[in-house]
Amino acid sequence: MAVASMDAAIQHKLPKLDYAVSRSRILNVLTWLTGLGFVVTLFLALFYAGTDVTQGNVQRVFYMHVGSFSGGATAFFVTVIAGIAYLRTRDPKWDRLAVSSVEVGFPLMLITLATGSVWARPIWNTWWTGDPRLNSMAVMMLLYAAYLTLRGAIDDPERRARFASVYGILAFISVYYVFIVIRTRSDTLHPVVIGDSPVESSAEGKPNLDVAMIITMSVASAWWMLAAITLLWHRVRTENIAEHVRSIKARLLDQ
Amino acid sequence: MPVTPNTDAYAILGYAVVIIILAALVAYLVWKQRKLTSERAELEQLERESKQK
Repeated sequence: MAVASMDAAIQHKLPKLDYAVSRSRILNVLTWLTGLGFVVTLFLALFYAGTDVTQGNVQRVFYMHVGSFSGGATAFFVTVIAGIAYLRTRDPKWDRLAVSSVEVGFPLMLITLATGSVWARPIWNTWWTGDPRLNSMAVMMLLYAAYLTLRGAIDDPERRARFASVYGILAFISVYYVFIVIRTRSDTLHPVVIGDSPVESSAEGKPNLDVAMIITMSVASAWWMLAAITLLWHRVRTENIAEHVRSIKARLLDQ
Repeated sequence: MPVTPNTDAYAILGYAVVIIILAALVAYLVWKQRKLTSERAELEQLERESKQK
């Protein structure tokens, strides 16, 4: 009887084997929307928005640079939500969501870092410099890389989930810092693309955005956030299947 | 700020980086999902067979 109730409890904690048809349909629609959105975003960024008079075509990289940061930050914010939810409920599904969101957010932030470096080469005449924005971004990337590495170092699933939840919540401070550093520090070279900067005179490469550029920037940012959610959903689905594989393996070993 | 000379090559490089990283991420997700789905099917088959025995 006790074993049966334990089995039921374990089954309750496991993800559903097959997704409800409605949920699969939503994900399919979301995937198609994301694909279509990518084409629209590329069209706007490459053809609709005008060429920056000062920077030339490399300014178009900014649409991806700013947008991918929005997507990455969205994914890392989900890590915070999932971390809080796990600490409150101790339900492993929140831990799966947390790790999935870091795995999706990390490559998106890598895109931000790489496109920033590509943009900086012709505008700042260097791929990388010791600027507070660039350094804080690098620290943020290292923090999230450490999140993924450290998870692998803890064997006990409950302890790993608890540790990862707290870590994921605290690591988001670095995302917030990256966002505000160019709005508060006076020793940065990095321009504030949207909004005012306290160091406008010393920032190098701020584009003068017209209406078409602002529309493109907004659409690109919205698309990257949508892409982050779609990729995250697919990643969670994969993680749920992985959890099932682990549970079947455990059952087979018990037999 | 002086007008920057031709920056087209850097724009192309920037977009190539975006597409390569996104394509790698999508390919990884598709590969992992397919691998796990087939592994799950095999294990379920194995489980059914062991129950029949």
